[in-house]
Amino acid sequence: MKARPVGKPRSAVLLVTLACALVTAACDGSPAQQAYPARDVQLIVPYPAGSAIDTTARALADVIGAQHKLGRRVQVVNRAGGAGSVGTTAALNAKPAGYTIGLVPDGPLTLIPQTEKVPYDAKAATVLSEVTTSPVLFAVPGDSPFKNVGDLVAAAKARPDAVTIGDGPLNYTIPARKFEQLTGTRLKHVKFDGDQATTTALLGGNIDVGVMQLAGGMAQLKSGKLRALAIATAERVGLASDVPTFVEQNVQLQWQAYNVVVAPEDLPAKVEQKLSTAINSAIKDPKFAQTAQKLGLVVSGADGKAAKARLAEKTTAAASLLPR
Amino acid sequence: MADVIHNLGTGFAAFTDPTFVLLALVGVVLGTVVGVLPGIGPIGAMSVLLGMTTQLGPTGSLILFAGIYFGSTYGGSTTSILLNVPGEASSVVTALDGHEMTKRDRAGSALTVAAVSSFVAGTVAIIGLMLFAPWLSGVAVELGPPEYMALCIAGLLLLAALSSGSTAKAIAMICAGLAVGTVGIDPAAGDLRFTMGTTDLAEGFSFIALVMGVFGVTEALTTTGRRWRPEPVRAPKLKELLPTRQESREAAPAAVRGSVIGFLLGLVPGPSGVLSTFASYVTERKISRHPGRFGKGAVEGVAGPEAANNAAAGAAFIPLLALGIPFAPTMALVLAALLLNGIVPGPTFINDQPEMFWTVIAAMYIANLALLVLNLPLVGLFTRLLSIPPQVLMPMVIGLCIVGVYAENNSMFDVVVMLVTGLLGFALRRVGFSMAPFVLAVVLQPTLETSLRQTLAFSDGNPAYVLGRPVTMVILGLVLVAVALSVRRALKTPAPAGDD
Repeated sequence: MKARPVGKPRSAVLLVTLACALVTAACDGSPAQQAYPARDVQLIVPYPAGSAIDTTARALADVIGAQHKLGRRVQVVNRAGGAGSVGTTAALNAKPAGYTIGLVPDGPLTLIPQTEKVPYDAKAATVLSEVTTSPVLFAVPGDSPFKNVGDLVAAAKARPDAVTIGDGPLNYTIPARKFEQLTGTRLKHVKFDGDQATTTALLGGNIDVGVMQLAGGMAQLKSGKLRALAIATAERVGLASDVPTFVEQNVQLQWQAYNVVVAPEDLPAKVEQKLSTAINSAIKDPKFAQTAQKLGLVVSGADGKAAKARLAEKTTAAASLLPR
Repeated sequence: MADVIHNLGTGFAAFTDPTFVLLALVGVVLGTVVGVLPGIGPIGAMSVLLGMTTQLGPTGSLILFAGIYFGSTYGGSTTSILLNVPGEASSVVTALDGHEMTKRDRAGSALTVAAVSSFVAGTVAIIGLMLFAPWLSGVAVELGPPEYMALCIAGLLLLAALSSGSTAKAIAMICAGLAVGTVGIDPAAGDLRFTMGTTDLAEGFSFIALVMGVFGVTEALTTTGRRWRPEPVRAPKLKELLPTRQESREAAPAAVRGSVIGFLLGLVPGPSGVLSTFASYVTERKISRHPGRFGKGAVEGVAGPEAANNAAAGAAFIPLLALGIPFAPTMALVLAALLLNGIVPGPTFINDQPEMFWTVIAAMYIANLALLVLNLPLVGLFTRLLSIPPQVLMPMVIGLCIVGVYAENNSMFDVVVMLVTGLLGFALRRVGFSMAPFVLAVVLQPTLETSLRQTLAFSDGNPAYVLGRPVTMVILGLVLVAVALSVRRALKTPAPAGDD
């Protein structure tokens, strides 16, 4: 083993090359004056890699690539933080050229702008498509004494402020409050940082009821470790057809989360057209549907106009229920 | 037991395909590289490769990811030991004694001890996973917010005891870390705090930027400030790369203890991998007959935390495989790779798809073995890095830190944060403040805050609530006893700094 000085510069060169590659990868090239798309499209996901919405985005990007309708690849870029507002800012405040778009949950568009100052105009955003909808449900541990919504209401009436409910992000706090309003009950709210934390707390018997998305509890619900009391959709959902709705149980609670593809305002009509066509045809691909179903998401495929109307509706519905 | 061996055999059968062996090697090399590079961690590497997982298939993706995961935990330690620049939070403690060993020309030995301890711990964790996965996952979810809170409090106290300098200074740095951790979105209610109206701070200070600042930049400034005497480059003798008999004797039990601590803490969600490293470090110092050697290059201070870190990494697979719940971001990526291949881990996974479960176990074995086989011969190469003059090496370190921090979020703001914390860290270190408590307090802050607020919500602010939680009582009781003992000792004999 003789120390050859040659070995060091070589590894240094390797490191520098790698560094340069990273810098180049991170920078945008200058926009070319060719027909759209002249280069790959970045799809910003405002949650970390590995989250359900990220997996959705990757499945979508895969199918768009396989269908060759866009002519270029779609690359998923994660910009996590601020409950989705960081990535949403990046997507909506990008140059409206169609090279930066975002797959975002509705929260940063419908809820966060009502409670926080955000540097983007959610109402002006171009909505390209609604990819999936995600029903919200109330779950209890498998061995819970609550068999239906009636049991929960009775228990909450007998002991106000004692039945613990795990909610958390606004998309869960609001349906929890609406439930109290509709049933005239008061629950004890404990905030959890998303479905995984709520699931863990339910499995450990640390809370009585949890508000979560169907996507967050699929595996647990299937195995019977968790049981869904009711799902907040108008009709039963095919993915979990044995779960009754709130409406069936005489509580008029409907609440869903939406994942939509957005772009900055003033997106050229031609670009919008091209992107919507490519995205919508990918959403309808059975390969995408398969992944979405495994995740517990309902494939939507509603066009931009319909999606925008739904977002506006949700914004209004939430206004009176938001914490001030 | 025969059943286990038979199943494991089926698991290994998948790896007769040379493609998988190759993937294991690629994963481990890649993991080691991203672990060595500051800023770019396993999460970054896995995110980039997530797009390939459908082509690789479930088995291929799993082995690749397991390789990256284990490789990065080891790679992070390499820079900790050689340069005092931990690649990630879990290697911060390794730097304490590991870098001291380097200063005393025992870098090769420290690296070898780290590699072997990691391997031992990986093996312990895998055996634990094989035998107890379903049972342990049930125990892990029983722990609720009050227990996480108690663990965090215990962790902060361990932290105060961790640094070898003044305890008051360590406590000051812990408070600073907790304060910095509150910036950004409120983990429970979703309000933005102390963001000064910018989205740059909406997610809080980037943890990578802070670590690279207080370790990478601070270390580079400190080292460059020192006068460097060029030494003739000489070939390191094989003897210098291996631990002495004395070192091995001290390291072996520490590695076993570290494995057990790491495995148990690794089952708890949150920053438990990091917690386990300093739990192991403090344990080693408490039971050592020469506690004074810690902070000055004690080999147990490398072996214990390195083992703990790796065992926790293995244990983290348990909640994922047995419940389908990823407790760590890296596990969320493994979950995504499985989901993209149409496999949904959940409570019924081990029963429904035993062949997949055993393939995962076999993948972990192979990744661990590949890591050891690849890294031991590299120890000599790594140590030669030290013969680069600091005037050349340190600017390279700073350059890499900038690239790594920028690459994490494509954010120039993070780079500024890194440089400013680096300068602050440099100034504070000159007046005797240690940086490890600061960084680790930042890691613990979100869990501490969330669990404290949840506990308060459960209890309506009534402390009697904790009385009904035996595990919380035990942890908090131990904390009280430890504090009382050290206060009594401090009153009796004013201990000299550096030995508490």
